[in-house]
Amino acid sequence: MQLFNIADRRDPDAQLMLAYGRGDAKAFEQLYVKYKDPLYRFFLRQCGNRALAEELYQDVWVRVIDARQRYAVKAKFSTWLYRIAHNILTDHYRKPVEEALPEADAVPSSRADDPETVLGGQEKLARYQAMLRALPDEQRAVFLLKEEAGMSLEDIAATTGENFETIKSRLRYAVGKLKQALAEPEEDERQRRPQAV
Amino acid sequence: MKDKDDHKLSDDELADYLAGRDAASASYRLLDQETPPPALDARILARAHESVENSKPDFSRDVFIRPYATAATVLVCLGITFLLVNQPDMPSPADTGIQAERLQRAAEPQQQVAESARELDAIAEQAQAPTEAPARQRQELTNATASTAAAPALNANQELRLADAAADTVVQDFAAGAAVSAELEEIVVSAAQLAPADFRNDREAWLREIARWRETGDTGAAETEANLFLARYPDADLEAELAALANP
Repeated sequence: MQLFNIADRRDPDAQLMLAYGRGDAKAFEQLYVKYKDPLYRFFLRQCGNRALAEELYQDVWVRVIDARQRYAVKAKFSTWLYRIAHNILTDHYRKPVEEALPEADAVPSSRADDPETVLGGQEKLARYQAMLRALPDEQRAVFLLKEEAGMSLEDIAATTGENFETIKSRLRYAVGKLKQALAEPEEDERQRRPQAV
Repeated sequence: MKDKDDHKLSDDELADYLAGRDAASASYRLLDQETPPPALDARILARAHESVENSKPDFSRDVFIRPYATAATVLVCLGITFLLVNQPDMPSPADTGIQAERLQRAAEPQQQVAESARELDAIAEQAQAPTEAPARQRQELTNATASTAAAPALNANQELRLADAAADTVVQDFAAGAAVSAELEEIVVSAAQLAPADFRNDREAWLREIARWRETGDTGAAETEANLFLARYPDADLEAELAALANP
């Protein structure tokens, strides 16, 4: 069996989880504060539905709480946490369509106070957001694990249970499409310009 | 229409992105940084505290027993410490085995030397005893036995060196064997991960397979699958889930 990295044992977050397993509720609070926002956005952007995102997000933490006494350091805490999140999402995708909550509201908008947004980047960001929503689930998951959890490609591979090259390829496509979305109108304009002359 | 590969990043672009020098990453930061609602935070934290409170053992009724229990524990610990301190250093079982073999091999030539020496003594005694044999014959006998004793002594040194080399080889082979076995074990698990198995797509089917292997006595397969299952569902309580499956 593959031995886990010794560095994972020294992961301070894993130590906090072990402390929580021993009954230190303050240790859980520290973990929660650190991971709650990125994990919430991971679900929000994966589901595109606030109510569903909240339900799945809560489900992850409930599983963490329930597993506290069984917890053993076999990987980084972040990998363990997002693995649970990934499983929950996978289970959700496998549910029959009628059981799933309706897709609606909730995809976060861009920050209105940002100068670039105010100065006309809004359209660009809207396209970017639309492309993010339109990405295949697997590609979006890899992109979000990189952006929200700050994971390396190796950690993403461990979290999703896919091999390194698959992850690299998914990220190439995801980022490529997002860049394309940002660049599209400029390209169109460049193509139109010679015709206008 | 654009080709599918038009969207794919080149190696350099991917490296730029991973280093944070890319518009896709910068644009992502411009999106709203939403956070969970405070009510949801409160619910989760309350549940975390509740879980700790519910599992705390009640020590209040053991107040009178505790000093005695502590004293007994200290006594036992002191006893064990005393025994350990006064015990000669014990080599590990593996070391003992190798050491014993090495000593036995090393002792063989020495035993030969001792035997030869005993023979020499016996012959010398015979030679010194008043006999009818002439002095020349006595001298020949002594020379012959002396050369017979010298040969095993030389051999003994060589064999000692050979025994040492053989023991070193055994130790090296053992280490190499352990490394190969660990590598093989890893390959087996990797192969199991790569092998297509439909049951792994369904949590319950996977559990049923583990239960089936355990029932048929194939503990190796059961353990490999259990490890894979726990790698996939790290928060799972495997034994509880198997029990629930057996007694729905």
